[in-house]
Amino acid sequence: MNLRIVKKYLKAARHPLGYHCTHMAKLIFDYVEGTLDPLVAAKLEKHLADCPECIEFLQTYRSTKHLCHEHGRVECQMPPEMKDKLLQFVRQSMDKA
Amino acid sequence: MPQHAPANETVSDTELVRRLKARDPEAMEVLVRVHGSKLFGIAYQFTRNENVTEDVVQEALISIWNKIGTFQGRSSFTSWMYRVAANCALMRLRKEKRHINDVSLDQEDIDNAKKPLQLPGNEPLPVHTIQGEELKDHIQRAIDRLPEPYRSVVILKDVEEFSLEEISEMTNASLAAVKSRLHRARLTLRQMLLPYLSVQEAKKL
Repeated sequence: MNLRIVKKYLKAARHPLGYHCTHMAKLIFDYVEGTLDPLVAAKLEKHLADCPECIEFLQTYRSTKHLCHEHGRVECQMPPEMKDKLLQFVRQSMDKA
Repeated sequence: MPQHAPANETVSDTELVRRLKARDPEAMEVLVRVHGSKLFGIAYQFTRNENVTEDVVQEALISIWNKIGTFQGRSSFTSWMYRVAANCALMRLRKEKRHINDVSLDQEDIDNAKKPLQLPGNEPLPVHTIQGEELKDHIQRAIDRLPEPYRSVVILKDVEEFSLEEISEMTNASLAAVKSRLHRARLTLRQMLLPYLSVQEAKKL
């Protein structure tokens, strides 16, 4: 058995289900979007139960998405004169059409 | 119809779509009065400039007039109209070369899917307990620091909530590339916003 395979087994042994932290980085996007295969998601959740680092990563990743949704939209009112300009544009365009 | 109809004019979307499909030119004026602000709002998310937004809204209005025949009512008229406006804004960004060539980025994005972007000054923003407008300002500035097309993908998905499939179509990128870009953008934003992502806040999610 070569060193690479031994390392792989040792790494997996730290997490008996085989879902060690490198899987988390690969799967987190689909997990958060709800597009991960349910069986894979269940295995991932078992890993999460034993891994505080992955839980924190998941929470901060979700929180990033949440903050962008809650606060990312720039509120900007259309200036009143622009509505008049757009109406004028529409009338001219419809006349040409 | 009077030259200047009341600002609080109410017309159902069903009726508006019917009139647009019947090629009623006055329906375009109704569209501006009823939905002009919404079109302006979505275009402004991408352009951040009033003059450019005006051009984009004009292009969106023409596009709605030309494409209304393709609207089949599978989504609401508002989401269809938003999509047309977002498309026009993205085309404008491409013309201004703020949008890097999508095709050449596809493979790079997939290869680097797990890595945050390397931006100058990509360090987290200063740690403060901030709320309200200040927090909003920090988050919007963080999004604006992302290069295109990562910024657009975050606006389309996490801010405006278009589906991944819609974004793939709108940006002419593969679904895998859209996912990778969004993931990298989120990882980068996570680094920048880490001080605000307290575990307590995250646990509520």
